[in-house]
Amino acid sequence: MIEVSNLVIRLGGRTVVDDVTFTARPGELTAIAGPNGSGKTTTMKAVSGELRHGGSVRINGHEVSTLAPWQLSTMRGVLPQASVISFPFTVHEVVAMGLTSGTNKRPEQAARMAAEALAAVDLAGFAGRFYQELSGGEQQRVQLARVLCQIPEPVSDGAPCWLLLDEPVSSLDISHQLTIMRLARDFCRRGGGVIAVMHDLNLTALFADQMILLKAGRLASAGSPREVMTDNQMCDVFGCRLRVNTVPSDDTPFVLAHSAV
Amino acid sequence: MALNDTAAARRPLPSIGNGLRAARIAGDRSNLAVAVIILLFFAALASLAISVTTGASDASAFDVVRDLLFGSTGDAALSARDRIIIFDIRMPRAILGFMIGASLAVSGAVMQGLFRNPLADPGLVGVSSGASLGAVVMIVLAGSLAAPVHAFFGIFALPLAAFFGGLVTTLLLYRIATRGGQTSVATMLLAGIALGALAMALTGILIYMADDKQLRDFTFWSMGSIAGATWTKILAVGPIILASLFVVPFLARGLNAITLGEAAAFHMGIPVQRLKNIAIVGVAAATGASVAVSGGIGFVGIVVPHILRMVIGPDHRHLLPASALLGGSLLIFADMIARTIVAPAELPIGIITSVVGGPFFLWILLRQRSRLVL
Repeated sequence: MIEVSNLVIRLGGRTVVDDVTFTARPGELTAIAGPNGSGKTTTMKAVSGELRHGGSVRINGHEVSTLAPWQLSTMRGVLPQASVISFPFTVHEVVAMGLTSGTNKRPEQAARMAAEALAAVDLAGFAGRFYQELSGGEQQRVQLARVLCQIPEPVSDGAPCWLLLDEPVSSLDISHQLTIMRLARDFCRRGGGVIAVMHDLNLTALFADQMILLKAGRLASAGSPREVMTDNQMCDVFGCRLRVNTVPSDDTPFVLAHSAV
Repeated sequence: MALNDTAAARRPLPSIGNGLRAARIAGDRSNLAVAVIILLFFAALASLAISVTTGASDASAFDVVRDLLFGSTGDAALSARDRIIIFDIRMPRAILGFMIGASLAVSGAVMQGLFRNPLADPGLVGVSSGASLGAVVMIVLAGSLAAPVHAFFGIFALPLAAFFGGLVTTLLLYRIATRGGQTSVATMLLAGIALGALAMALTGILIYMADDKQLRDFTFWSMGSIAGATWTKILAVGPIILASLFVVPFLARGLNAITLGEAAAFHMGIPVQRLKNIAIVGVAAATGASVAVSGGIGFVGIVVPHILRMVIGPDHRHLLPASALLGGSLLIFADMIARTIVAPAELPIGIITSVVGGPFFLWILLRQRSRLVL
């Protein structure tokens, strides 16, 4: 369980996140959505323990600010938005960095875990390539493989583990968007928890169990995508007259930009 | 950072690794790296041996060893002279050269990792400019303001002043860049330029005041030399350099993580601020000690890690020990050139490293030019 209560974050004298409260449960994919600058990434940084904040953030019952970096690193992995590396690391070397942050593993085991993580993000055979030579989307998936090496199991010692993904599909093609979202959902089904910052409302509607909608640093709405994605809510939060529709088969909501043009 | 080391990435892996990597996982260069480190270890031993056996004098290390083992066979006075040349001049010089080269190269590698920029250098954290200021203060003011210090420490006054100059500048810079327990690497970089300029200005004022002899002393100090190597000097700076070199391997994993960004390193469980504290103080101490005894020796800190990254990759677990070995060996060779090329006179070693390092550095820049986004 990740419990965020009355979270307040001030950056440079401006309140960026104001009194946000939500709970992410293991077994569920929690998506944070909202317009640019609404505080999604900042909220994520508080959850990951990077930012000092008011209010409280608890992960599996522990206050995040009281945990040492290595303790946090065994409970949650974080996928950043974009990562530039100025040194010529190979893909294998980047992924294997995730391995070294946990307990020590035997070389063969480590190599197997790195290979499995790469296969999971559909990058099998990329181990020998240089990270800097890959496209943005491929780099993003290498980073995800690194995070999967750090958090290889959804449940560790009986406690759920967490993946915090900041726009995990932002630079991916549609097929890999689905690969990564399925991977996240699978991680949840096996007992882990995922919090993802999402811009794509349709993928959110398809995969999220809970949707947190932020507007100007405040919580606008929270609940299942079906509850959150309404015409009024979209108009209020995004400021454009979007019409929410539902898929005939199972009434999953969807939004097309067409409706606002 | 805008300067990305992408040029090296485009190169194929060097062929010496092919046999070694055959049975291994693709993209894993650790076997190659270990082989290179073993190779460099023997190269270091060889360079130490060569350095002790060659020089402007005709003293033969073999004769000295033979005399020690089997008793003197020739002229007693001559063999005593040879023994002094080998044991008290060449040997401390080779060992000091190795330690200084190792500490400059490792400091460079650590700074580049910390600043996530392959062109970073210990000079960036103010060590060089601070050390210069310390040195010029001692040289110019030895007869007046700094007289008591000079009287007390004697010949150690100059290296001590340089060491503290470097250390104080770095700590000051570090304080400026740290707010609320967070050190901003970018602020440190920019403040380093400002403090460097200030130190240069103060150095300039003192140079303006200096007389001819002092000018000459300072000029030669700033060009660098390990000609004055003695066992006493090794005892003075050795512990500082060795302590720093001993601590640095424990930073390797953290430095690897930090190349992905400080936030990512924190996510991976690295105590980032502690890592920065240890790295910066360690580098300041090691570089300060080296600069203090040898003056300004440029480019070792940039060139050595850069060459190694092209061969064994940027993994600091291998890069740091390899840098120490290669840096040490290279400086010994540079010193051999310095003391033999114009024998019986000597060139300052800083000239040798700059003559080789300058063009090399330019070549790196030219190769990367297409990728520079400023």
